[in-house]
Amino acid sequence: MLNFLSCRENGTLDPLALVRAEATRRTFSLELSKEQDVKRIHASGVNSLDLDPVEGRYLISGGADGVIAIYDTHNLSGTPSNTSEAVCTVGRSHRHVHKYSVETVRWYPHDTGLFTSSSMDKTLKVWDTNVLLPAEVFQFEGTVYSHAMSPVAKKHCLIAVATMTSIVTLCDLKSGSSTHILKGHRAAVKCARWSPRNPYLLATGSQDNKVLLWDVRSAKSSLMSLDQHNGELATSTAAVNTAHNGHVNGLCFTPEGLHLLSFGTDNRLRLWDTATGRNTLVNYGKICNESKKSVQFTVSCGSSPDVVFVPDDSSIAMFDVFGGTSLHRLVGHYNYVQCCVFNPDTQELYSGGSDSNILVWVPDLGRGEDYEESKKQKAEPSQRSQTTQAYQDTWSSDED
Amino acid sequence: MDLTVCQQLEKLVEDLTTSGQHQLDKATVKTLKKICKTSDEYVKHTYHLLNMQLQKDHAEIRLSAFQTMDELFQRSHAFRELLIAEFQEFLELTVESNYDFPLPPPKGAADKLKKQALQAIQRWQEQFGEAYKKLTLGYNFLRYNRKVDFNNIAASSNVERTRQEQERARIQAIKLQRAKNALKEMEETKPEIDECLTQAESCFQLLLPRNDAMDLNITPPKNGDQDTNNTLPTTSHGWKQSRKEQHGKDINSDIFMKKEQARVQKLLIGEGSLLSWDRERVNNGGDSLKVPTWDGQEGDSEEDSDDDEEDVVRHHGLGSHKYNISIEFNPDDSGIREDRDNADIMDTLRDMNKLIVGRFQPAVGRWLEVFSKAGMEQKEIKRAIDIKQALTAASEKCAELGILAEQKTSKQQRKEGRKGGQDDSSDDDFVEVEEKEGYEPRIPDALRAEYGLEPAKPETKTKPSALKPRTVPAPASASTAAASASAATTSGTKPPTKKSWHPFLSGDNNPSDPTSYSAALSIATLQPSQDNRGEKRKVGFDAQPSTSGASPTKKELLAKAPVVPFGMDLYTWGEKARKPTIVRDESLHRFWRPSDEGEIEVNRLDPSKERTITFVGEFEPVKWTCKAPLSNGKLCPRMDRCKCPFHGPIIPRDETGKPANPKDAEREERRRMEQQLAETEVSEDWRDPELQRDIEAATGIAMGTVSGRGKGKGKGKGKKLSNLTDLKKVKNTTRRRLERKVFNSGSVKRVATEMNKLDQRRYNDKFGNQFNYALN
Repeated sequence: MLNFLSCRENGTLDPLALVRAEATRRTFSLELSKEQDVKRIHASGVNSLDLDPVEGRYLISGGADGVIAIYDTHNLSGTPSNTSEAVCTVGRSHRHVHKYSVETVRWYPHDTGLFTSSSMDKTLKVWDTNVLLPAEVFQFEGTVYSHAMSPVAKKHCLIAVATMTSIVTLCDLKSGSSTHILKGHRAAVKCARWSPRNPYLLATGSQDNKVLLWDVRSAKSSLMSLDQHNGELATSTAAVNTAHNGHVNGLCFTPEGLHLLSFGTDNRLRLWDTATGRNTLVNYGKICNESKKSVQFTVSCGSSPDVVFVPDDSSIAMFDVFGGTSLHRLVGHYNYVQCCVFNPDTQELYSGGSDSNILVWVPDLGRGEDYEESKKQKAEPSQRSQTTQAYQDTWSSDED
Repeated sequence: MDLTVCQQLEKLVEDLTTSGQHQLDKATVKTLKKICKTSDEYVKHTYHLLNMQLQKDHAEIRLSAFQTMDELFQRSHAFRELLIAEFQEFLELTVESNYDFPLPPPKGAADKLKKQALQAIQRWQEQFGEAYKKLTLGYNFLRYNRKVDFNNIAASSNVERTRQEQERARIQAIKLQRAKNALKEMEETKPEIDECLTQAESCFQLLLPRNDAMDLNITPPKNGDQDTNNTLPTTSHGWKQSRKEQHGKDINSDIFMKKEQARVQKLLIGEGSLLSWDRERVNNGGDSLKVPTWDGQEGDSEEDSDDDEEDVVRHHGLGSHKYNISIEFNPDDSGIREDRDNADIMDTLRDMNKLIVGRFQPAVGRWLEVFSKAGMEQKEIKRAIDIKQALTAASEKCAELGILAEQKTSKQQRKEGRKGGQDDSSDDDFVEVEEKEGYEPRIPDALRAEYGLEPAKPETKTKPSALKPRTVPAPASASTAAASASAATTSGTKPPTKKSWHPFLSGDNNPSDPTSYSAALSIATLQPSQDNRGEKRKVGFDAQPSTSGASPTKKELLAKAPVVPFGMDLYTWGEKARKPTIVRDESLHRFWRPSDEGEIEVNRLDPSKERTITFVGEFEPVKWTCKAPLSNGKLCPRMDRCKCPFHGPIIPRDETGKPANPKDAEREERRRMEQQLAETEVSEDWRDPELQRDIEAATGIAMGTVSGRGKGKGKGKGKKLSNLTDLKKVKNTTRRRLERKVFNSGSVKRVATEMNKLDQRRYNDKFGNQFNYALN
């Protein structure tokens, strides 16, 4: 670090390189935060999390109890220990609360004044954050597993909705109607993601083991179907190309949009080239995935190599995206992890699980001990905090 | 890290965890802590050792391991770090946080482990929660997700609570279902009950006219031929009187009225002629019965009815009130007399009573029980109670009238009786014909004492003409026929007549007396269907009993004759056994034809002659008990036929359970000695550690494990777990032992072969003669 700083002072180092090095260091050293906390709002599991893309400050969560909560993650208390309070919640007593479990919540990519939520009660609601009332409600035939909005689209304002029916519906926020449907899957669609690079590129993963890429301008058929064998298997034809040997219930583009990661109930994670649709054949090993619903996983931004955070049973596995090596395992949840979201600015990770906890994972740079030291110095010897005592061994004298 | 120290640690951990005690041995823990204090490396090593022990599938090992962990957790930061890093797993192993992995047996230790672990986690959380984030998370997880009530750990966990709730809900559902079924049953039976009650009610009304229905012009129930006008005023006055006496009491007054009426009637009937008031008074005076003077009372107490009385008196042409009406009132006489006229009503009433007592009342009781258990609606319960009350009232009425459901065969008896009495032959007595095999028509006078009869009177011989042959119905049974036949032979003179004779009014005709006529009749009528069948199939048997001689030998033979179901044998009875004709088809073959001469071998077991008769024998219930003395001072109550599974063959024993035969006593003694010997041998095994534990408890010095190990070194690993509860031994229950016996392959095979054999035999019996089954 000091070396980097001095190089930077000398002007021998690209400023971006310093940023990248620091981001990488921080990302790799993620640990369960000892100070930061998210207030417990949900009575049952947390299904979905999203961090607002504008400031990276407001965290929205959707729970299996139908409750939606928005937290302020910024620590304004002045002390390192902080519990993120809920700014507002759509509780069970709310008039427009989702009847059943909320499956996905998403901020509007360009503003925090709007967010969308989809639920098992077959609806997609578009909320006005300020008055906390739904501005629009879309009804569907099947339960909604997932929905997504393009983060880069300027020309359209479409929400891709993956429901229990095999059809992907595109809802237009401008007109307030579902403009068209995408037919191609043969079973329930579990997840949908827009490319962060191409505003018209949509990827959907389904229960029929397929991942389809769509250009939403041509609704006739899908752009391509990803094939895990790259056409090398004798039987693999375009009609039966499968991306996984199990249901595909998680999709994530890399931040630059050149690659796509897919996660299936065959306990595999696969990396695809979005331009060619080829399987890059990176082997991540076995990652436990028993979820029947969509799983949210994320890729870090700005570090080199990039890291993918995948829920693995009750922990979160960290992998090198392109190398496939397992880097670390974040253990803290007491039940299945359902979703995680990465904050690219602070290199923090938020994760929600079936144990109804939202955990904050922060870079552990050993600063906690420094703080303790300073605190200890400040405090009188007689009133040492209990926390300090907790780290001490307390062997009793009679064991001598 | 010192290798010897590590080994010592291993040994200490093993000692601690395999002690099988619910409390840790303080000295050992102290030693362990002393070692751990020296270096965090040892702490880590200990942690791994303990973790290994914690994963064992034995609750006692887990409990001890957890207790040791608790000790170290409170001391060492390194230990806390390690434990909390794997806190999920720890929770799974100690507090059953994952329902898929329940705690291992034995249950007592598992419960204790869970309780202690929860308490410890709460303690840890209070003490270190701030410092260890995951500990807090785990605590919250238990608290919010697993719904552990930390304030009341003793209370069962969420799982158990839900399980209990489910169980309760299930039982409630079953109860509700039962109640619903009962309700349905009630709905179905309700019309039947109503009908029954209505019938009973109308019977009551027929028997006992209600007060308001009573009028002077209403004639009382007919008294047969003797019903004359002259009796009317008497009876109506009687009613009047009773009405005054018992005004308002409905059923009681009814009964009494009826009684009085019956009594008066009887008096009238008994006289057999038109009664005048004076005559009756004279009669009653002669009988020295209590005679309430009716007109005296009437004068001062009942002025309001004077007009009526006048009317009555005038209507019937009676000049004055100066009549003495004697009303015989007998409180002992409970019930109404039954005669020919009300017999049908009584029959119906009796049937209804039987139905009510035997069927409806228990059913209603059952429904009420089910309803109250299931917590049904008040409305339904009320309905059931209403029904029950109605039933009870009806049966009480019956009881008051002296109609009992127990008189089962009385109906038949009465029918016969009516027929017998139809011609008003007015026979006073019958000869009591005993129903028995080998009927003896006459008992010689010399043998009368032997038969328990009084010395012969000339009258007894002349009486039994009640059943004249012509009165016997055509399909009468053999025994009835025999009785009547015998009666016919003996009857000659007409017995002295008494007008009002009725077989059931005569006191000595008691159905419970087997020698009585009614008993004989009842038995006879119970059999007719059977006997009729017998008659039909017996070729040559004269089916006309009234004309048959019915010789005693024949009767004897009949008694002996087996009863067999009707079949081909009976159908072709007496015919000559036909030889089966052999049909030979003309052979169509051109050259070859079967030989004509060849003897066709007739199967020796010709199916047309062979009959399989299953002989089962009679079941004889076991009436004796084993009576061997038990350890608790009682006698063995088992009722086995030949051999008690605990005390061997059943032998005669006296009151104290001692064998009556000295030989048996000797054998028993020997057996007991052997048993004792065996027991002492077995007990050697476990007495030693027991003693040791006692000594330990007394002295407070932990010598158990050390000495145990020292002793058990030679025996090796087997001895190691000796202090723990043996999981296999716990399972050695009665059920297990029985299972071992019942389900072992040998016995299963034996039973299977036995069953197969039975099946085989049945098939042979049924189809053995049919070729297409013959191969099976």
